[in-house]
Amino acid sequence: MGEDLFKYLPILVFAVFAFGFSGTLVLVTYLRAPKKPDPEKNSAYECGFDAFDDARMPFDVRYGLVAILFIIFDLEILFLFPWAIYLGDLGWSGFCGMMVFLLILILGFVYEWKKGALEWK
Amino acid sequence: MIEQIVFYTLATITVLASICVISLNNPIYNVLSLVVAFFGVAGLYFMLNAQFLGLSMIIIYVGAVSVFFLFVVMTLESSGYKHEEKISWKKKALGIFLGTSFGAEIASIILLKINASDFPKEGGSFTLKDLALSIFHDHVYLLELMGIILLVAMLGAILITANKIPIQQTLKKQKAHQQNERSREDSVKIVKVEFGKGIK
Repeated sequence: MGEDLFKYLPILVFAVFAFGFSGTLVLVTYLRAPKKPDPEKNSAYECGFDAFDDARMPFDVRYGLVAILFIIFDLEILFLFPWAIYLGDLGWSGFCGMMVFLLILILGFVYEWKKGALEWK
Repeated sequence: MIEQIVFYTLATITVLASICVISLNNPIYNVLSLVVAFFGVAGLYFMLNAQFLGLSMIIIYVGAVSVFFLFVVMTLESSGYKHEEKISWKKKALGIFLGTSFGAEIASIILLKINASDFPKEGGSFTLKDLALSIFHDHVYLLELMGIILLVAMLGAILITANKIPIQQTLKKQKAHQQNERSREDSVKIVKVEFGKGIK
């Protein structure tokens, strides 16, 4: 098991590099960026918008719908991986089983398309 | 030795992130700590030699479910962000019930000395090929049943949001086939206009 873990060493190197790089960027910009505070910078823009506002505004429910549909098709894709790798060993019954599974989900996809759930005004 | 260090690091990350999920007041931070906890659990799956399970954890939970949670948090009214002063007795009772049942599960694992190595492992005797055969050969009906459950979930999600979505006819979109089928003759006419008469 101890030697097995060394197979994941590239991931560790990658993670260390990613954290180090992003941390360095944040630190360098924090230290080196010019800071000239001015009350004008905080005041409202000429067009009337506030310079700073609450970012936590309610979203359209469609985003949630897209997220749910994404989960469902993500699951479908996950089942495709072992199926595609071992298709030769599974034979026709495995192939047809997956095709029926895909067909059931395609029914939902067609309904979704016809209903206009993927349309944006 | 190194194995234990990695295990305890991952376990600490998971436990700390889970504590953050329930204790931080900002829902966005809660969801983000949930993502960190999912990553820790995925790492633990990798340590158990269950690579496919770990990767599916990352794809499904980190990739899709957490995004869904983020959108759920963002579709809440802004009043939903305020910390509740008084928690109703119903919520308290539910919390106590869930907490004790989960605690009983953990206690039963410790008391009955259930060992993780007793279960079939991917990579050991149980490979991804066995998993594929078990899903697509032995339990193929369960796969179809799961497809139907996913279909119901999909239709339910669309129906719940259906009143927010305009029906197909009112959508403004191009009709490509009509545009292509138009000929020059029935759209453009060249007329000689006499001076001072205009076109009728």
